[in-house]
Amino acid sequence: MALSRRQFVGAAAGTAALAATGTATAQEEPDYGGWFDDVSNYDGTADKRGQDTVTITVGAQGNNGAFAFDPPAVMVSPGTEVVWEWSGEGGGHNVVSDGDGPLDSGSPVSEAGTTYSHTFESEGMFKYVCVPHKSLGMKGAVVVRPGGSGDGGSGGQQQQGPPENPDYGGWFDDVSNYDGTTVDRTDADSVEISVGAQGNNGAFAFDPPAVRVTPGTEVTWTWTGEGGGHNVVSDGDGPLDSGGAVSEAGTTYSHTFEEMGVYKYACVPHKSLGMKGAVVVGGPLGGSGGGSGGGSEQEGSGIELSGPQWLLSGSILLAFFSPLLFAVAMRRRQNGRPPQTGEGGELQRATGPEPVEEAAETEPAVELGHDEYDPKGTAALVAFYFVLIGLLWVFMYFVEFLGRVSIIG
Amino acid sequence: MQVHRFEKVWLGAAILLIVGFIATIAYGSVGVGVGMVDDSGGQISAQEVQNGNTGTHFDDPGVVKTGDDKYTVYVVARQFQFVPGSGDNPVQVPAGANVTFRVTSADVVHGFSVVETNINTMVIPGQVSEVSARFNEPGTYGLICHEYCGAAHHTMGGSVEVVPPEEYDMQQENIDQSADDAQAQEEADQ
Repeated sequence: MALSRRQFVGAAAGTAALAATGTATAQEEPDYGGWFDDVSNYDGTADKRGQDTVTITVGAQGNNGAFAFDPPAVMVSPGTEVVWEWSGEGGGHNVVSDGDGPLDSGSPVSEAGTTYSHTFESEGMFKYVCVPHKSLGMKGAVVVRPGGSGDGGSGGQQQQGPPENPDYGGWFDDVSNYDGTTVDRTDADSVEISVGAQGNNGAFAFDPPAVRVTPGTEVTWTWTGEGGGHNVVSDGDGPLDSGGAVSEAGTTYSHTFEEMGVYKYACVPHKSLGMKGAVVVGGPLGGSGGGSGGGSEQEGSGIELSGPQWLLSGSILLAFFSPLLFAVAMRRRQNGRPPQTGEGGELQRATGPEPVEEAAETEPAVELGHDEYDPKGTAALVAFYFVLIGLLWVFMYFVEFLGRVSIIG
Repeated sequence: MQVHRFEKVWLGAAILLIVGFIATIAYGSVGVGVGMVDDSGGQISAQEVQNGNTGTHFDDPGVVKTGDDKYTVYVVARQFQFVPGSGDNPVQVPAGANVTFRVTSADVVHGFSVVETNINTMVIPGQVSEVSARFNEPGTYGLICHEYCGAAHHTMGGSVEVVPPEEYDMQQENIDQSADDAQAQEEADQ
């Protein structure tokens, strides 16, 4: 029963949902010319051709804050009305065309629910920015291109879903229990992930952190009860939200993933510790049959150093042991010296080195009292310093400070 | 204790120098009238500033003429811009007039520093920072935020344009004129 449902949902969601909202991986990606290089939430162009209105969130999570458009890149059919809707986060935003262009929502506003819309009639690429946050990467583009509405649905190629080794974009960089492999559970109807598993210097991990499932699979998060209160919340806009953090063992939260994609999530209180995970829905090639995935080439363990790293660690080691090497060199020099010969050499060496005759103390030529010596050189130096400080003070206060426009109240 | 007479001389000179420092600062504040930033600006709700419903000039910040040669500039600092000030919306004030800046923040702590002048204050959400100044010469001054306020702090800036008084009055008349014209037009349409 469950299997048939899964297969049904998988097929239905794969064709219908992907054709409508999925990332256009199979089709030709427009050339934005580096426009999206500094846009953190850019992950391909969303193909929304065939829809009459398309909504873009202004102030979505991304670019280190709520400084993103979501989706940043969107492809629409000619005649589509694109509506920008303000989330109310990240301060005042606006939507203005890059260079000459049709978009201009005016000066930045921050109020949630503000909308701005424009109907794109002619084909082309329309890049736009939020002026105050452009430098943060708050940039977007609308590509107007005909087609896509009818032929996308039947394209069997688009069912692939995410590739075998999805690009998590550094999501797992600080997750200690992620070993580079996405656990393949495409053969299971329901998948369990433990919350509060050992990892990240405590019980601050999801296990497994990355898992691949087929569309229609129910994923259940089970709390281990360790590591304090945890929750499961999608990164940015996403379907997952288990609510506030709870710590009770046995708590569960489940979600059924219908649409293909990469769903990143984190435990909000422990995100900075690396308590992050991802669910990959769909794919790779061949769907549930291909159980061979899992990144076998990533098994190499141990430390691997590149050329410059070898050089660096080598010189650090050398520096660390240099006193020892120096001591060894000294010892060798000492031993290499011919033994001292002289009268009764053996006897003298036993009693230590020959005493050196000290120089006799000479009588002072003249004795001076405390006040009889005048350190004229020192006095001149001190006087020079005083003059210097005085000049600097006059210049700084009367010229630099008072010479400028000052606060007068 | 024996103190050499040279030492006596330079100890005395050092004390004299310190007295001189204090005297110049006293002269600056009393004689020249250099002011300090204090809490005279009063308090305001940052949330209301953000929503634009304070019921003050901060809802539509800009320059307000408050008297003969007296102007008040209302500036809202927010991530990552000054309104007015940033972008193609510089603060415009006439030369030779007493200009009071009333600056507040809609979100986080910002700075308000008019470059190459001594106008420099912290902008704290919930607090209005008030500083007055007189620009004698026309010119353009930079305006920067000098309190770290977020990822794009380094891009937060603007400019203050000091224009000759006659030119400033003319501009204002033009603006008023166009507003009057628009009003007249509306009335005519009705």
